[in-house]
Amino acid sequence: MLFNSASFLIFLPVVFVLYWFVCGRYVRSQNLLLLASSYVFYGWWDWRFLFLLIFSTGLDYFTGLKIQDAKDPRWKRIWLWISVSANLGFLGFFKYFNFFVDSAIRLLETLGMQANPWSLKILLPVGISFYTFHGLSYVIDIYYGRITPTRNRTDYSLFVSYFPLLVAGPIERATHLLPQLEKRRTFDDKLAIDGLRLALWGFFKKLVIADTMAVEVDRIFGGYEQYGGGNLILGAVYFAIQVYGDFSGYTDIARGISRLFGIELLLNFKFPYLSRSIPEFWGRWHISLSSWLNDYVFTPVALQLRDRGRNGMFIAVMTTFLVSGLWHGAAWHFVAWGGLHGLLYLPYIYRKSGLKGLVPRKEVPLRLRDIPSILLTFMLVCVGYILFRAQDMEVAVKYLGGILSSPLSFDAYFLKSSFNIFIPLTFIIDLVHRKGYLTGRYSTWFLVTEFSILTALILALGNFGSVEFIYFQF
Amino acid sequence: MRIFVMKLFFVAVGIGITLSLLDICYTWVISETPLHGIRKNEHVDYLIAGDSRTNPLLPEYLCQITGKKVINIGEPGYVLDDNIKVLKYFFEMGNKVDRVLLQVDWKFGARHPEDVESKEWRYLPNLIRKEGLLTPRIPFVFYAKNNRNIKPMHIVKFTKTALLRHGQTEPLDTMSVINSHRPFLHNEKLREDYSTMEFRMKDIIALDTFLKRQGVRELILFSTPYLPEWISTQSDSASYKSKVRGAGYRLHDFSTVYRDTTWFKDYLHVTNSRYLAFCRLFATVALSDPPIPRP
Repeated sequence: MLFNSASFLIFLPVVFVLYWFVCGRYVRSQNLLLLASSYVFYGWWDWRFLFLLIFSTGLDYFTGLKIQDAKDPRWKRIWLWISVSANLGFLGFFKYFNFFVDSAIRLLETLGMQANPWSLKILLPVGISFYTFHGLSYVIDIYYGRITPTRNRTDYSLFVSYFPLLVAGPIERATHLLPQLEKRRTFDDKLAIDGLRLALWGFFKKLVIADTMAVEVDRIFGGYEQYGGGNLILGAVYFAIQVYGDFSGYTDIARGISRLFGIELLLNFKFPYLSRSIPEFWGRWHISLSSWLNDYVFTPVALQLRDRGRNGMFIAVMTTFLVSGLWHGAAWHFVAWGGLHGLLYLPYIYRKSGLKGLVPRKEVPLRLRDIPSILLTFMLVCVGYILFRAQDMEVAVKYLGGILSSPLSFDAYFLKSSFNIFIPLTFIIDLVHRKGYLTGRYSTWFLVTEFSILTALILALGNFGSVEFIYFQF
Repeated sequence: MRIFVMKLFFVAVGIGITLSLLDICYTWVISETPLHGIRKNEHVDYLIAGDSRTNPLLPEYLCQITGKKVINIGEPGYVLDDNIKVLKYFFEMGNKVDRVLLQVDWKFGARHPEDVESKEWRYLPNLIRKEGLLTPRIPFVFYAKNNRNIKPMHIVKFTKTALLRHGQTEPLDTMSVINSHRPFLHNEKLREDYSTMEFRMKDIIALDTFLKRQGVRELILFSTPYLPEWISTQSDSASYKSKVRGAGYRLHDFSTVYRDTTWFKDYLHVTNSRYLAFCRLFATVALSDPPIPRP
């Protein structure tokens, strides 16, 4: 079930009414309803995927309790590894099996050996990358004593399967979401209104901005050989706008809908294109993933290699970003994209003050003199997007080669088209929202005007059902 | 909860009023740009039907070249069922036509899963005018989606010209100016093998029977130009042609007339500026029948 589908428009109000008017008195009934709704939501794609989701949920719940109850540290480790192996095993099989087989075959062929292709037609369960990370963070946190496991099966199942975040995040932490699920939610009209506003802006970003840019991105990336360097650069910029509109739009919809049920989800984007450096970008882009990778990949690796100084830090950063690239897709161009971002950390690792963590800890206010560094960071991110968007490494290399070798020409069509307004509009929306626009108290007239204009724009300019959410493929 | 419900109520009312106003604006603009040129109690020589590939055939230009009365009901996104509904509306308005030219090929005539059911056809705004309805209706959404040649800016500016129907904003006498050049779009979704799908020959024959009852002399079929690269993706490229000719229909086959990629917007659509050339070719070949004497 997609957020922008007719079935969801019926599903949401029904769940909302049942949640507050029928189940609102007890936390158990609220959670049971949300859990059942989440399984219906997920099963709408393919009911067969439910088995894997339920099995994965049950396994992590069980191993979490076993880790907590085990007295012997060896048994704690064994239960941890059972859960980690199972989760990564599912992910590895469904997402990466064919990738590894194809890569091995190609490697053997380059070495002059013949190999029989042995790939399976494996269907990728929607959201597997997200819910396995939920489960992994849960058991790892229990192992390190950061949390105690919940003994409520419904609460844990809901933590993993909560429908707003099930298929494309944000990747929640047990420390953030479980405590909210353990308490009865009471209706907060301001939170609900803020949620609706956030969701509407999310739809605007996705259906109007992202899906409009998608057409031009397809045009340029599909026919990159014909275009001059200028158009190819525009293609990368357009994709930056598309992917941000798509993914942040989805997250806004998810967070907005969740607020209708009195549940606050993690912030996933914090105006990333206003970043002044690559580390700051990763502190603002897909925050739930970068913090997950920071806690469960970067920090353990960096600690293990702390004796190697800055070189150890570099290995930790590269490992993290290669894992990030691989998480995004079972293809070498995603790995290359991750590797590029790892390399872009080099100046920060080897500068005098070194690198304290994957992302900056403190937020520094924006100033006018930051504009050059904001633009530079944005352009570096766009270079990475070429690797991300291209269908394979060969296309990515040719595309980049095209930018470097072709004349810097721009097609009049791209320069004069009205959709270019979405580039500054994306920055303006971010700047305005950064000022707290979405969380203030507004009069009813303001709300009526805002909702009416946005709805009309979405209906008039939006593309419905034509472009899937990008992050569904991950 | 009460405050939330109250605010939600006001917001819903506000959205309803906004959409109604837009609905009225769209209705006025679209009905003033006669839907497909369909008026009442007219007798035309040719009626052209199809989808987005047929839509840019400019009826006024075709009339200028041939001296015959031509209307074009082709619209972006149409399937055969949409054309049939508009044809029925055409005859309900008391109109007559001598010959109907129907676009046909693997894509338009195939029973593609997403094309089986007609898309929302309730964008016949004259119906709204007839019923005198000004109630807030979702048709505004259908207008925006299904009359893509009429953009929101045309609504805001209350632009009225029948040429908007066919993607042209300039008057006929300046048509030699090349319109905005859109780079070729590699739309991979169009590369599906439609030739393996069921071809709706029975529906075409049923349409012919209906047209004969309305006094139409002949149903003639035609196919529009495609990029050769696209034709090669269709495994059985000749099948529909043998079916329609085998059923006794005349087929004007323009599918391979152009081979230059620069003449195309994507695999199936000729550019606006090249469409003038196609109009001239079309007029010469497909609209050259001797006129039928009228009582």
